[in-house]
Amino acid sequence: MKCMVVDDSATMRRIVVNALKSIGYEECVEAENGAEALEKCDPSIDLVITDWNMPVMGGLEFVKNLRANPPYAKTPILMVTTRSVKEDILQAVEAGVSSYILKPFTPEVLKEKIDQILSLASGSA
Amino acid sequence: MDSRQLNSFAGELETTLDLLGALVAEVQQSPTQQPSGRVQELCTTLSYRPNLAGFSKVLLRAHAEIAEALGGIRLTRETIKAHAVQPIHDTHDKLKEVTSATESAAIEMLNGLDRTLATIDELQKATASTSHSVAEGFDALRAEVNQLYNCLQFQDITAQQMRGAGQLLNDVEARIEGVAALFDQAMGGAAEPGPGPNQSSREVLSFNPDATMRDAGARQAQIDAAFQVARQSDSETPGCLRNGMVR
Repeated sequence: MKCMVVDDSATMRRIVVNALKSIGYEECVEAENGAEALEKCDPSIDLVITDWNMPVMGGLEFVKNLRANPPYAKTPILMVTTRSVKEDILQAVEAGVSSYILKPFTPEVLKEKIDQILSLASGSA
Repeated sequence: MDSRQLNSFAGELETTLDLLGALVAEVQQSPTQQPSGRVQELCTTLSYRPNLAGFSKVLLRAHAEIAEALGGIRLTRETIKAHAVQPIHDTHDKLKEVTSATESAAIEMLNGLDRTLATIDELQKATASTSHSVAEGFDALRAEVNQLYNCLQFQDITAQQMRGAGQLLNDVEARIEGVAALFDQAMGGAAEPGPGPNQSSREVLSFNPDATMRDAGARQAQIDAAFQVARQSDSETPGCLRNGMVR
């Protein structure tokens, strides 16, 4: 499994990558913002984990851009953010986010959400 | 009073008003409350005019009061600059410094935890043939280290909170600068340009000032419920979220 972790905080990227490794996802591509993520994205990526608030290009815009590309129309995307207002969740769903996790998260919650969206993705494929 | 006297009085009044206009401009430039030579000259001129003889005392008092008021405005403006704008700017810098220091510390801790995990892996391989309890010990140690990784999420969240506080300070600083500029304008000076709005609006995109560590579990449960409802609505009626049907 190949994952992409998009977050402007180097600390958060390290934490997410470590959490992914601890549950068996060894290969991770990292990006500091949505624009860099779009450049680094390739169809071999099985899962995208992105923050919302980032400079240059935020997570919501990144997800919309990614979803507009046919190869990524069904790529599982997990939004990991501090934003918890209902309107934010509506926007995220509308943009095409597959699941949503609040920071700070536990590795257990991360694993649970990843398992859910991957099983949904394999079911709809 | 006949028309000749009236004309004479009007002439004196016009001259006096011209002199007063010049005087007000002069008082604005003068940093002291002492009447300048021009004021003294005006008082002397007035004392020779029978209809305005008593006006010189009023003029001197008015001059002193206007000068005092302008001095107060200058002092207020300087006080605002010295005690509000600069300290706010310094506090903002300190917040940035704290954010930077905690990020560096968190990265160092993550590096240490990476090395610890690598050491655990090596030790576990080296002692692969030892007892089951030793293997369990390594697993427990690895779980502890992973837990420490997780704790370091505080750095991202507190950094966002500090950037939020920093932005608030920027806004307050800009407003106080605006008030100080009003004093400059009142005293006839040119207002200094304040900080542009673009910087803070760009910053808004890169952090969430409402970020919090509190009640993460309970809030995640609420998010899950709201996400489920939104997802269902969106799949049943695409576009309904945009039209506000779920709100």
